[in-house]
Amino acid sequence: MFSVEFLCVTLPLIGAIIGQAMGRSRLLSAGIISSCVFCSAVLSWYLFLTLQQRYSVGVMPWFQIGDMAIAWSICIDKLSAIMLVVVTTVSLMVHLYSIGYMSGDSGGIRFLAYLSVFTFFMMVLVTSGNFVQLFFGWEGVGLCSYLLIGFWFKKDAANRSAMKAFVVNRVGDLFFLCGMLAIFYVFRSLSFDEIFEQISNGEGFGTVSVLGYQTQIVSIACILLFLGCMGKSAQLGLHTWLPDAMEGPTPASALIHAATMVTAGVFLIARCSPIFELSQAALDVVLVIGLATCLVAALVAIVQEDIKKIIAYSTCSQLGYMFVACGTANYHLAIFHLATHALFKSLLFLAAGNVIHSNAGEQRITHMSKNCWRDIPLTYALMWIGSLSLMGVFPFAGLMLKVFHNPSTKRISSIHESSGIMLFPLLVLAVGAVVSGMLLKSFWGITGSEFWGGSLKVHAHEDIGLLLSLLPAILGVAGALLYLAYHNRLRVIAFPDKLARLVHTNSHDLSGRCRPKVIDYFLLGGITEAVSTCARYSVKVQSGRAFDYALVMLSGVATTLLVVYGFDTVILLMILIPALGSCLAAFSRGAMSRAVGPARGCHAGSVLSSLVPMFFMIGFWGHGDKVGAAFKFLIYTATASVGFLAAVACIDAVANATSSSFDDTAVGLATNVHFHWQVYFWILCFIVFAVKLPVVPCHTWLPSAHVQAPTAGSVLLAGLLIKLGGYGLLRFCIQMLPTASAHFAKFVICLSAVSLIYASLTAFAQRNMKMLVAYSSVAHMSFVAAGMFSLNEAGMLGRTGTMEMSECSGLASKMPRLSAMIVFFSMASAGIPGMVLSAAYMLRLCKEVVWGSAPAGSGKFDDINIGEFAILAALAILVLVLGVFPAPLLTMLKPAVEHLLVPLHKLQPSWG
Amino acid sequence: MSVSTAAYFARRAAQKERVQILYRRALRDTLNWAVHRHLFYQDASNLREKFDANNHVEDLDAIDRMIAEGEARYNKWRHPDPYIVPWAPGGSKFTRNPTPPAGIEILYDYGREDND
Repeated sequence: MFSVEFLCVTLPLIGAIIGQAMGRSRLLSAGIISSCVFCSAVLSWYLFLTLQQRYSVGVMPWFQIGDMAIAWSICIDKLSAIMLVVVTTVSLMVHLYSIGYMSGDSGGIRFLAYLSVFTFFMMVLVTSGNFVQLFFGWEGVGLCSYLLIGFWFKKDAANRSAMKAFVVNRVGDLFFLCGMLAIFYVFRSLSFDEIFEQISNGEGFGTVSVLGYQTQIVSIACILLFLGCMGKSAQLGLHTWLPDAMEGPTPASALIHAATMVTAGVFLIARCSPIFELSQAALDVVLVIGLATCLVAALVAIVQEDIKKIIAYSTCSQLGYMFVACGTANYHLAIFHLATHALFKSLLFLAAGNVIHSNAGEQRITHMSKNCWRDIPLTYALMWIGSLSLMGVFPFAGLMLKVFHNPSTKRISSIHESSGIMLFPLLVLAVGAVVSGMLLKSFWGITGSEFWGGSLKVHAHEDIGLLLSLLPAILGVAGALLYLAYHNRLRVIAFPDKLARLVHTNSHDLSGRCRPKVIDYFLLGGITEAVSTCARYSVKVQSGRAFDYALVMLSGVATTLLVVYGFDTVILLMILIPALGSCLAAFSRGAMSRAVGPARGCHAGSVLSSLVPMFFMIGFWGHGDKVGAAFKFLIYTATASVGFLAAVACIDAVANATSSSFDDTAVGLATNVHFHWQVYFWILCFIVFAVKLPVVPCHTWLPSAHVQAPTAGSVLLAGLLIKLGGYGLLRFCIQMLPTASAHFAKFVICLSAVSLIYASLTAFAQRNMKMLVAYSSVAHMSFVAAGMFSLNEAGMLGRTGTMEMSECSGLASKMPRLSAMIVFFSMASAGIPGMVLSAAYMLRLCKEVVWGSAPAGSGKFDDINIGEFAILAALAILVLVLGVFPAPLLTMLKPAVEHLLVPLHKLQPSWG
Repeated sequence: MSVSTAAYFARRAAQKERVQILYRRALRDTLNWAVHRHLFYQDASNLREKFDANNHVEDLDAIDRMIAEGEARYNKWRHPDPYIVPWAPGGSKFTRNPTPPAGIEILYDYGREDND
């Protein structure tokens, strides 16, 4: 288990944990963290240089669901080896640089630890042998990106940017997840080896009808995967988070937003190149989006004034180039560019950090010190190297150069070159930027198929000729001339006078600057105005009221149901009322006089008995309108319980089961009761448990009960009581009435989706912390972590004495232990993959409560003590273990679940 | 002073205030567009000329219309990414993790030390 590969991947994580634990000694911590990354880099180079052929190292099993077994493993081939080298080398340089850059920051060690954890997740991503592990790394780097962008957590802009980055990435992740499921649908496997083997055997060409057109399923899967890549790699449409991410410290930008994380999308396409080869349509989409990003991002970079944003947009553009290479099936060239780009872009970012550092934090290139290149000549030279590499000038792999030739009158007297520890990484990266291209191409032969050893698809190319080779250079020079002409420098040469007058006009606006008439006003201004007008009208649809959105969603679901079921849906609604009436009638006929069987009776008893203590708990020890909340809780849940008793009595009366067990009752119902009556019973049971769960629209009792209940009551509510509803649904609806369950499966799925989205939107709009958790409970009913999350919310209420999020902001600086736990459980709660909304409202909770500056006069809060921290830590460990190693729990549950699903499998339902 | 005269002066005073605010904002925003002083002086001079050109207008309704038009133009051409000094609120260095100088610490319950 403790092989070279395992150590290589896990050393950064180990270093981060040890370094953070020894946080009191700054130098020692920095030394430990950097040393671990250094060892990891050395091992990566060793693996890269000694690799002969592809192999895989198993670590441990992860989980097994049905026939699909997923294991933790480390897959090493040329592709992953070169990525390992790039990631660890750049990471090591950034670690060294950060020691100097963050020397004056009180959270320097935390920053290094975040960088190391990021490195670990990135290595997990690139060495994964299946989609699931890759997704784990994918989400992990997203999490680290969130933490690093919001590193200066007292800064509001940084918090907002971090949240934006995470949520926009989540949109991409949702597509990625859908793509993964589509891949599984086609190949019945998520292991790369198995999928590639099937493709080599000629499988994977299934089609599906989309809007009347027969489309390859694999095309849809590839496009979905690419949409996921668009989020992570900031391609046009999902790129908006990257410029904002520049709020984070510059070294983080160098590592994450230039060299590694943003290239994960390119890596994914290269890794899945055999799958993408099956679909020309998907490759065309990749090509078009890549091209558009190339052009648009480069144009936007021209007008930026923030040095980091210029480099960020340039990164967007360069990523576009990589996707263009992928779109033309030149995956190896995309990876080649990825490797060299990582070196020169991190060099540029770190050099920009030097410039900012020496200009007293000034990031605007127009406001930097006059001709500062004289004071920082080494950085100047290094920036030249990076810029020339970016432009593709031989032998290197000059947008920012105006920084150094700035004619600003401002002059900062204290400008100076950075320290040695900050310059050394730049020198290493500069050497890499100069020689890496030649080394990779000429020495290792990265452009040939022999180098890759089958780890990705490499097509043979014909020589394109001298003219095509020189075309980029010719167009570049032409573009530069056009630019100068446009700016009136070469007007006489480039334009006749008349045309020049048409292009340039002397109309002055309020700012007193000359505005070119044709291009700016009609082309750029016209498009902007059109977009602005459309936005002005379309924004009226966004009323900001959850009810309006819920109405739209319900309309959509109703339409979908009508399309899927036809008028059966209407019939379904019509039978609800007579079903309820008939059950009540059965109840009134004295069916309750029969003894209720022990199994069902126990559950009914537990449901009823759980209400009484909770009623008193809210009524006696609650706060605010506790009596109202207690009675609302009792009326809702007791009504449901009465309905439940009625259902149990009716079922018992008509089933004629040989015993009172669930199984026998199910058999009795199936043989003795007509299907229509089963449907009626199912509806009654479902209404009962829909209140218990609760599902929208039967949910209104939960938020008020949550808010008014004492903390212990809230924990019981979220963690236990509402779970009874889920259990009851399993036992009664699914186990006892499987046929009706199969009949209503789609209806329940649709209703759950509506409930989920509605509750998530409502949660996002809450100002009260407990209200937010209550709605998140509604949204997350199947997610046990909601109950756990309430535990740390308990600690909060006892100490701050308030539930209003605005009143307890900035806790990170006052209660670090509790804050860490809140962030951890929030992430666990938002962890359901693809749930963009859950990420949004949980991150909002973190932003409002944990991050930010503490309001003036908020006083001093006592952090949780060691005992409380230990309890929360134990829960956190449990959450981690369940996530990373859930096999024992799944094995334990498997027989019970299989037994439960036997009747459903016999029915061959539509959901299987 | 009659009521109508007082109302006239009150309205003029309000207009004067609006014009001053508009001029100040426009001048400050001009600095965002023209960073360098040699450009800024020219632009500022042009801006002043535009305001001075209407100095003689006496009709109250006409003044209101012109102010509204000026405010609309200002809002249309306002710089989308105005410059903020790094250490000012909203600047790139604002509320990072500054290490307080040695010897300076937060003193809770200031003034109640004697009661302990």
